[in-house]
Amino acid sequence: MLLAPFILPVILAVLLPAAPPPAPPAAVHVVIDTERAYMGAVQKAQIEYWLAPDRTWVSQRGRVTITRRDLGVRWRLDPAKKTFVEEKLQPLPAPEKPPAGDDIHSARFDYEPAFDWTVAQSGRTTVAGRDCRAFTAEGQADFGQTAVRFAVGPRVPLKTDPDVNQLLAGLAGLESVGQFLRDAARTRGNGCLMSYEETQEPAIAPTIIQRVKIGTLEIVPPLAGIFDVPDGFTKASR
Amino acid sequence: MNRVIITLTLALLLSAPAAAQTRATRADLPPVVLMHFRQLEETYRVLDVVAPKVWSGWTTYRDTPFLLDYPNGLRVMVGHPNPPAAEFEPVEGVQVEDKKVAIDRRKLVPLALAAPLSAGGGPISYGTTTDGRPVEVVRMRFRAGSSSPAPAERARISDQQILIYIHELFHCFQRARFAPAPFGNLRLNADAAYATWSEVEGLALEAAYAEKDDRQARERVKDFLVAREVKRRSMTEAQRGEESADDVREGTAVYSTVRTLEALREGGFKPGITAQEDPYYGGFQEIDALLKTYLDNLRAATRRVEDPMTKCYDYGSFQCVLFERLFPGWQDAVTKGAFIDAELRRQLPIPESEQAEIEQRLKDRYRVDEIRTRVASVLEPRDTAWRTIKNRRGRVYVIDVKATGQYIGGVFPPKAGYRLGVGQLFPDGTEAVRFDDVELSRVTVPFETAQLYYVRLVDTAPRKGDRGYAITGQKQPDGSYVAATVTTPLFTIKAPRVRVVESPNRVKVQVLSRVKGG
Repeated sequence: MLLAPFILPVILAVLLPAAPPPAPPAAVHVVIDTERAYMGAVQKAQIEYWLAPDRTWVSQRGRVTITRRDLGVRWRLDPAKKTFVEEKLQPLPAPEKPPAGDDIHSARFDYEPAFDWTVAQSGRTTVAGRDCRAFTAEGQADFGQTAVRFAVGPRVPLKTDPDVNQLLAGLAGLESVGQFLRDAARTRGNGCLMSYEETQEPAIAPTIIQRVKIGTLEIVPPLAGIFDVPDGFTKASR
Repeated sequence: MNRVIITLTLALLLSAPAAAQTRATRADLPPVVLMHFRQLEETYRVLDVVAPKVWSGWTTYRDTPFLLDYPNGLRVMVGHPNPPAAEFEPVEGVQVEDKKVAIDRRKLVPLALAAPLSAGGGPISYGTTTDGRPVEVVRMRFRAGSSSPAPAERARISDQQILIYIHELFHCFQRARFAPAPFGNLRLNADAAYATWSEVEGLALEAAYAEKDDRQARERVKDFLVAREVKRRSMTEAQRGEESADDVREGTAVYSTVRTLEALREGGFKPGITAQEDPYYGGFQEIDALLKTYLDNLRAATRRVEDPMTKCYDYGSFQCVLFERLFPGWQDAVTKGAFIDAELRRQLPIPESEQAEIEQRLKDRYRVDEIRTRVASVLEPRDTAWRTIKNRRGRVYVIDVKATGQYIGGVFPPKAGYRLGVGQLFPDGTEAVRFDDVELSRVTVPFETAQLYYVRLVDTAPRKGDRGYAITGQKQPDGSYVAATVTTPLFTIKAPRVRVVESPNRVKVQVLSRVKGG
């Protein structure tokens, strides 16, 4: 029996499973645990990110921020009130130029330590299920010193902005320490900074201990709609 | 607020436990600490009488814990709801009113708490409640004083200490009730224009205060306002805001103690400390003498050239005093966030034509040219010293005394250096100095102190291949040296315990203990 040509697609459609829709581009899902011990208090926090090349989702202390670079907007969500604020992404202002030469009015107030670093490899460790190289580093400045233990894992193959290293290094107390950590990961095969513990003796303030560790790191399709304002949220004015 | 207060009591040396598992007892507290407890209780009794007259709504002064730091390493926490258990152990049988006491003696050194002790401090966040909320405490740092008090002052030492506690507690009230100021502390080194017109401001405030006639007093306040405007022409918007914000923060805190004294003079307060408990307490019987110190402080601030921020204590408080006299009811606006100077200007509008007239009259009235010449004689050598020191290149030496808690600026003779930022410049070096068992030799090259705890020197002609220092003493397993002497081409330092840290082109001498056995 000859089947009419139009029957075949129908039969095939019934017999074969539906062709899957194209998978969404993968994103980096990272959960970071932080702990800061200072002046008799220990503050803990957890920050969760979804990172894609042109969009970012972050949840911290009950607030969610979605940055859509593709649309040029940022949404700040208040899940408790089911409201959000929208702001346009502005190009970052150029950093303020320091006064020409040294300015007598501001001289010798601010101090940002410029550390001389000594780094040593200290074995291997596992962070978030990933095999990492462990290092110790000591930074000496004129006024102040710091000791850092950090772990570098395999490179994250998906390029995002910001990337995981920028996120972790950005949690360091000092910009110079963050820069050191970014450089340390970059010069070690563009590895992924997975954890660090910094014991800082600042110039004046008491000892600060900062621990930052990735608890989850995966490259997976993002949750459906995670980069959009959820249904039921209303726009609020700033 | 750093105001010198002196207490006299020879402390018992404490025996340091290996860890903070045991519960301490009264016997673990030196008499001077117990005397400070009685002063805290007296502070609350004073405020029970005066607080409503100081600032409407001030009732929370018992709520803030105190953290008392002593130069022998002892730390005492009073009234903290949850003293950090890794640091503090409770003290049995000792309370301040109904507040519990805990002590931290992990870093105790065998240093007698001998008089005089000076105290400075302020509110900080320390520890948390059991459910994790941060706790604000008033931290007071006691340090050995540098001079003996005059006999007349000895009888008011504890009165002054109580006023300092009131000042710091008022800061806590500000944090809770005042609208937050959108500016931080003033961080400005004076130039000649600033110093000149700032001195005119102080002279105008003093003249306004002394003026019996209110109309004339208002004219002097206008002088102050115009001098401020002239002064601020060379300041940034941020610096102007910082200065006005510090006038509010520190000025109203000082003013709270002025109002305390004025309210005590009205009666109703009975001292609660006996002479046996505190022989240096005058029971606020000498109110006039205590009030006079504020005028003395204003005069000293007026002539102070190098340190703009500390002027805010006195200029701010005298603006408050004048406001209260000339325009009562000003506190509400300041509580809601208005600056005192801006409110004064609102009360005393100055038309443009009058502004020019006043600016002109200031020059003769306050001898501006003489002031300008005098401040230049201070600032020009400071600027020369700064250029000299910052341009020195070579091997860097840093002496780091942070572990001892000693502010290094207090070690050098007063007026030996120029203040700049949070440090001092010593273009001519220094004579030998010491604190406790730490001795620094004479230094003949220009150097600076920085960031409260450091001395920085530069050897502009280091010998190639030379390590840059020699050290003697008993080497310890951790690399430190006990009974150490470190010799460098620029200085020699002797200390009970040091560590030397070498970096490329830098030798850092860390002084780890200020007393033998520490």
